[in-house]
Amino acid sequence: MTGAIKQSLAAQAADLASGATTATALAERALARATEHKALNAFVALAPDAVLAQASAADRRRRAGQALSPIDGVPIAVKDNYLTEDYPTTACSRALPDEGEGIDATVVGRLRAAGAVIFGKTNMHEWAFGATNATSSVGPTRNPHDAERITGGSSGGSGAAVAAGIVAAALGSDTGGSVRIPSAACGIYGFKPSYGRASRHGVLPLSWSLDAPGPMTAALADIPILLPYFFGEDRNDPATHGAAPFAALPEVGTPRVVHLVGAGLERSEEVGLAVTQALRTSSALVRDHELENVESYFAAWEAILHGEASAYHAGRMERNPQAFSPATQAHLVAGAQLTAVELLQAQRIRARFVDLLLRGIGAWDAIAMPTLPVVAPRHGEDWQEFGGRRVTTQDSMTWFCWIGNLAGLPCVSIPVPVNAGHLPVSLMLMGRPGQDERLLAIARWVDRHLKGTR
Amino acid sequence: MKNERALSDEQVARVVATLTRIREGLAALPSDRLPEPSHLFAGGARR
Repeated sequence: MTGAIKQSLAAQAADLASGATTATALAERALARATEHKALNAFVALAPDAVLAQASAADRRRRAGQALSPIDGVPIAVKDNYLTEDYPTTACSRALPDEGEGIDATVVGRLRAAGAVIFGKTNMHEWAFGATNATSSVGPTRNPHDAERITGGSSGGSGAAVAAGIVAAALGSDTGGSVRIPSAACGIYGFKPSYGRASRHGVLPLSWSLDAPGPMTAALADIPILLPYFFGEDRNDPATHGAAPFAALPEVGTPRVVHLVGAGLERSEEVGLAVTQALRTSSALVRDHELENVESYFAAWEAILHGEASAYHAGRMERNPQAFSPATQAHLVAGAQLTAVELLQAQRIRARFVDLLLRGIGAWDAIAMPTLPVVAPRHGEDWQEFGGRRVTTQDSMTWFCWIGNLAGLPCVSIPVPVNAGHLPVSLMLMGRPGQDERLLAIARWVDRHLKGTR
Repeated sequence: MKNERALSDEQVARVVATLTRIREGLAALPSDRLPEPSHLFAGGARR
């Protein structure tokens, strides 16, 4: 190896630019760490020869002064619901996708064109229809902070791969928190873009009107490096028509933050204390707002999720429902029994919810909540108790995150300081639709205050 | 339904629990105070 290799993608890119390291050294180290952490079960497919060949090509380009981008040669892991030309895509299910093999999702193709080393495919909750990563054709992922605990999901393998220092960045997708949940449980950064700004072409759907692909990274500064490859128009994804490409982060002053609380938004004492302290440390202008009717808004999200997923999987369920796990099969049967009237009522509730958040809770620059109400649960725990509630572990994972998907808001999950030996806790910030750059600027402000670097 | 016949008791319980929770949640907001269908999903990013 050529010198010390740092963990953030930004640092890896800087080291490549300065010649302090090489793409081959980064790839070899990532492969060694993947072997070292094999018990995490973070990867469903990893081809060392293909990784090293990509890295070698990146090194040749850089030596010739022809690097394709600042991330030329940086290894990036990819969730197994992104189509990739060099790996099969299974969504970690035995009910395999019909989508073509041998092609890249738009985001993967853009990263590959920039020279990123497509490192391997990461484990995920089957078809992204669950937030624990307990249900997967290759078995559950394990949390690098404590192997007895779950990573959360559905992008659990991506979370584990970054948290274990195998790669500095990985791709996830988010329908009710699937980027943010494992990011929080594993103590890394995760970003869900505004609905319609990031291309989903080649990312297997869970729920069309809720899905967003996003990066999961070792450092907040890595996110704006990767978002240009997600954002902007893609004629293969109609939702991105008119979407702006990624722009520079604006300067922001002290942000006005609305901290959502209320029935249905409870959190454990440990998480509540850590997040309250983080908001205080952030120097933001924070006020609490009690959100009412949470169970109705959640029901709208759950109805849309189930209805759209069941529509997408209708053919697969007709041909071979037993190929799905029992839990996913039950989800899809439930969704198929929702009526048109119920789904339209859900959409009307969604419209009311968007209006409430954007215009009905006073002035705000960001909405804040914990990302998760609990620290990473143990494997095999079916229930979580917090704030006077007893809910399934699955529901505890999406407890806050669905809000961002139902309203189409950009969201970022930021690890907050916890005492040594404690499991990660994260703060989630949500921004206004389309103002992803402004949200990231606010997140940078908060993160710097939390780290004492401002 | 074909799919229902193949379900275990545990799966049936999951289906019933999911549908019950969704239906109770949707019914809890009075529908006469909800936006018209022309105002469906307005949260997406644009420019």
